[in-house]
Amino acid sequence: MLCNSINLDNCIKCSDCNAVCPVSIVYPAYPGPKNLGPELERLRLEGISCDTDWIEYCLNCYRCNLVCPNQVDISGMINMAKAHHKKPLIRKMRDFWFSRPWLLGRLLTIMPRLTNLMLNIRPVRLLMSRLLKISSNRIFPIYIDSDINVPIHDVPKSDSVIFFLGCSIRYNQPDLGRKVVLFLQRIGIKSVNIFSGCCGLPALANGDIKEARVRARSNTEYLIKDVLAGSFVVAACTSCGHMLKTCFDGLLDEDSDMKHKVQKIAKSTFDFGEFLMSRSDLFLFDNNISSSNLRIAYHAPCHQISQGIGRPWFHLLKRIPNLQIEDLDAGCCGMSGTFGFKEEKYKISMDIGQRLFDSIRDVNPQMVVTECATCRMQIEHGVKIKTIHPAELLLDLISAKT
Amino acid sequence: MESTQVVIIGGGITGAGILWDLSLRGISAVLFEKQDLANGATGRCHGLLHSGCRYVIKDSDAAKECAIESKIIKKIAPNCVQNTGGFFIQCSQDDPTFFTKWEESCKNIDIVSERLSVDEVLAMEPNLTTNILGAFTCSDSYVDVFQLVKSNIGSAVMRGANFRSYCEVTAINSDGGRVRYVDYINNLTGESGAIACDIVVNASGGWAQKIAAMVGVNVSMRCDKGSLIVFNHSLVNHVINRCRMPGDADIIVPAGPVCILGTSSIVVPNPENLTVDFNEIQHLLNIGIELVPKITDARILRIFSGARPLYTPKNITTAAGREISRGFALLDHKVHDQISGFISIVGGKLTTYRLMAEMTSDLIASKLGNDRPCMTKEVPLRVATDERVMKRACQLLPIHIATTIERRLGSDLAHVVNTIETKPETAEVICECEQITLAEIDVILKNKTSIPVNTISDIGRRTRLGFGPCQGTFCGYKAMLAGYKNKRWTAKQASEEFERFLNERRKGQYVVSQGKQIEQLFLSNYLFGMAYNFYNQKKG
Repeated sequence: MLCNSINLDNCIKCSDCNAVCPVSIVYPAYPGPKNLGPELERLRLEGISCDTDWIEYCLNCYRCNLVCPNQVDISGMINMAKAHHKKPLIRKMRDFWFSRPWLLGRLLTIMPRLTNLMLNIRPVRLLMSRLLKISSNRIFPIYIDSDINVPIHDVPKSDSVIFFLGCSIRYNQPDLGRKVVLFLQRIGIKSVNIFSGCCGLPALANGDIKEARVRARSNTEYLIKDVLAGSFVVAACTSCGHMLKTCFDGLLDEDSDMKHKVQKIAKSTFDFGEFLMSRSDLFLFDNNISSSNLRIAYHAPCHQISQGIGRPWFHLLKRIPNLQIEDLDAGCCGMSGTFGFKEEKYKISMDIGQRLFDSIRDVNPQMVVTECATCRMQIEHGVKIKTIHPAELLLDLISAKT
Repeated sequence: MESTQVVIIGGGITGAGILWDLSLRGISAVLFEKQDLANGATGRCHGLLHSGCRYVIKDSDAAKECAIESKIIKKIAPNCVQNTGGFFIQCSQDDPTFFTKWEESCKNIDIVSERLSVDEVLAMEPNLTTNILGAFTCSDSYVDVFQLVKSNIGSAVMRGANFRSYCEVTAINSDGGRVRYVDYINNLTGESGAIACDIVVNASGGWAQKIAAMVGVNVSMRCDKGSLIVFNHSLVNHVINRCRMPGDADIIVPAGPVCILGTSSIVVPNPENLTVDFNEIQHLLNIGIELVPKITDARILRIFSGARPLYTPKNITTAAGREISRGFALLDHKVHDQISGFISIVGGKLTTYRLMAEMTSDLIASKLGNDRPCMTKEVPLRVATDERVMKRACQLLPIHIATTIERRLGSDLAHVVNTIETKPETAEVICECEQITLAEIDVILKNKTSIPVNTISDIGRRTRLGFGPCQGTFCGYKAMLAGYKNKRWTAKQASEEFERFLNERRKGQYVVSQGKQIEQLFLSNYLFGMAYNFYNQKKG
């Protein structure tokens, strides 16, 4: 189980988690992480039915876990409770697809042009909102069918990296993936393996614990060989990184061998920015970055914060000469992966994002950078401003020089 | 002077059972309790509804009684019973000959028990030690004692009986070898009064000796202290007994959201001001760990002690606590001591309370010339809740809150639903640990239910408020405000009430020797310690 039950004993009801929960802040009727997590967990263990629709409103942003002074795995408990939550058939069908971005990606990239056209015409969107309760206000990302055709040098795995692609980069931004791989090769990583499986976080957030377990297991089995051989796992998607670092542990704890593997992978996983920051030859980049006169704002996604690695991309971008960069520090964007796409949650998603939108308007940058793909969607939707992955900016400026 | 047919002294389960039984027979009765209901041994036990298995070897009569009575209680008070089932665990370090002897004894008195393999037990109880040989099943269950007492008294009051909490009987006046009237004093208001009666029933458990002395009769009681440890959440799903000669810390009961490990057995001079010392807790934990190793990490909420009121007739005064029969004795003092109209019901167990009440009431009825038969075997303790009310409750409240209120209040749920419908803000959860709403507390404070409350602890006994991990740190304060807003207490009274409540809650936590509860207590101290000057008070 995700939450070991002793963990729930640690809660001393301080309500720190409620104070930081983005949903609680904008939606006082929401019972809050303390209630949905440790409080109800106690009653669930007693055998009382505690199912409530509110459980779906957890963003899985992990801010509660981060702030808890007693290491209670609040979001773990909520994720487990989500798995037992009963929902109507329509939402169940929708969440089936939302739990499986890899399947969605595979299907939608069969005929990407047609798909992109269809997904964004009004009648189809209205139909989807009727049939699948997917908000018609949302614009779907563009699906691109393209493999990352980078020559992979098969060399000894001494200094090797597994690049954990993630569904979003794989199906929507393969270009970014290609750039990252090329860059990794350029900074001297001899072997870059690309792993394009789904991390399983969408399934976990949508209450499909079975699917999440399947993903977690297949990922672990695939990664562990190289990891044991000394490879690092690098993820450019913060949610994938978060999942690999923290959530597998709770999903696959049935035997100690698996637990050991999972912990090993968690220790070897790096966010792309974190990985660059950890390189001792980091200063060598400095001479190679061309200057930029852009005025940009940086938004730290929740799952980047949850990794507890500081703000590597903020500091990396600061190395760009002449660039004006401001850290927005305005909380959660409210998108939370598939959460913002859901009809009944669209409004609350936008309400949560309002603080961030306002802060962007205040700063009035030329563009916003943030690592998370769905944060980018939300910001572009909410403020109508160009939003990109920080790596795109940095890598373009580095390659422009040479 | 007021008058009634019967005065019952002691608001424990026995007194409550007698009140209910008498009310069904149409005999008027008044129950006096010097504090709130279930203040003595009743409220300070495991809450284990014995299937009888624990007594099969030493006391087969008591075992048979338990087997029959537990079935009746499950039938008449399903809302109070959590039908968990239980296991008798065969630990590898215990005497194996006992297991077979135990199994045979069960068969002899027709108690059904199945053998379970190690794997089967561990699949159902993953927290159990793996160092076991197997287990036997039994039909042990958890019974919420406060609810059981409340249901008995509440139903009786609905039928015209009278319950007076915080009323202490100060004298029993007899004249010509016959009980005439009793004097009482209200411990909260200081008012005193007298009530004429034909019969006085001494059902005061550990205080029975003291009460009997009021009429110059000697009822020899021994108080045997048992301490229990409450853990924050259910570590086990069934009642776990250790299959060996009954001893210390060999029962773990899943008691609602918590679980309780106990007990010890130490003779004490009287049932009041029981204290627990560190060594006693360590002793209990050390044995408990042999059964459920996980309790080393589990959070202890509090420790409490109760005194088993054991009746010790003169011939067996040398026996130690658990050795004394757990059977009960009904003493008609007209026969023994030539005092007519004075009856003592002593000893016994929670599980056999109904039988004790039945026999006592039979005796009372025969003395009063009432020939109605006992009906407590069949009549349910509570009328079923209207489905429509439950449906409305589910629309207003989360399902778990609606379910638990229904379990506690039964048909009084309608009051809560009405309160929330008129004032939606009362759906606010006051006690977060046990998920109790302001509406429920309002209903209880306004005495819309049949048993009055006077203190915050009383609210706790009705609802579990303050029984959760925070031990009243947050809910006590809110309950105080609710009492003040409902005009139950003046500002000064409310503040004093809160202080008393916090002190009461702190008592059980002070001795907690480990873990997060200390942090919780500190949080409570930081919040309220200055205001109530806790730092300068003596501990305990």
